Amino acid sequence: MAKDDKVLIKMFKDLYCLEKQAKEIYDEYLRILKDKKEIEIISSIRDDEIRHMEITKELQRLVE
Amino acid sequence: MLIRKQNHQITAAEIKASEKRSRILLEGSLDAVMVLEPPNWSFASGNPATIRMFGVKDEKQFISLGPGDLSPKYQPDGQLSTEKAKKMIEKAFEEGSNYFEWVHKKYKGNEFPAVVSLTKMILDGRDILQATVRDITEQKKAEQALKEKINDLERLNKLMVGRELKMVELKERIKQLEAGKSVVASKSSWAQKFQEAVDLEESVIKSLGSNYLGQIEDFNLGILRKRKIKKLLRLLINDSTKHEDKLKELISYENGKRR
Repeated sequence: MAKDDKVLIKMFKDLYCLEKQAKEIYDEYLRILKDKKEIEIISSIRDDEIRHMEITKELQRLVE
Repeated sequence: MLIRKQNHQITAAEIKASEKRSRILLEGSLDAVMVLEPPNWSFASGNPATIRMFGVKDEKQFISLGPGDLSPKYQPDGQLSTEKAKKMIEKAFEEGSNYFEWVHKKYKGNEFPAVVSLTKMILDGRDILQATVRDITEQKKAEQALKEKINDLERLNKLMVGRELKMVELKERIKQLEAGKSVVASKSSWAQKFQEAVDLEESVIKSLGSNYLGQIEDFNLGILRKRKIKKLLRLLINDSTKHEDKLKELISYENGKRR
């Protein structure tokens, strides 16, 4: 019950960290990439990762 | 009946007082106390708790019944109640007492778990058995609840261990990727870097599917919340699958540039 909820919140916090790390990796790619097409695609993935961070926050709120 | 105590005769008043005390104890007992008499080991008497426990009208109706009427046909170990009852009585007779679990049945009613204590006694020069029966339905429920709790904890433990392993795997991939990012340009090609990102997205998809979505039912959340969580997790999986495709497209693109 309450303990299960805490476990799930922890899982979603971990997931948030992963999404954030993924976003930072794509940020790093964007810092170095020169090719326009590659920048465009990686940018869209990076934007998704930002949205995923919001979603994982929403997931935490749903359990709390 | 002549009863002697420490070489003096007990008076009728003392006997009456003693009988009264015994009756109060028996009638006030929450345990069913009854007497079984040979040769058939039929019931000879039962206190008020016996009447209540077995759901009979009165003591008269109770003593008209045999133990077989107040037990299911079989005990949980598969033995016929009538056969097992004989064995239990024989043991009590040989050893002086016998304490065991038994499934009883209310008269024309439901079964219930009980503990039975049979004690050999002598009444008016005859061997009899006094049986004390305690309904342990609540105790069994508590045991079952405890068992379920232990199972829940074991399941949760497995879940946690599985989750931790997946997380370790994912974090390891992130770590590898992060270690590589400082040397992105010099030490590995972009095709390789994109491949590492594909691997990362694959790990995320696997984890979201088996570790999160696959186990969400194990948590005690309401149906609506679970539905919403599943929806969001599926969205993450779909996005990560698209990322994987886009990254693969970039790998092909990179390889094309080199040719």
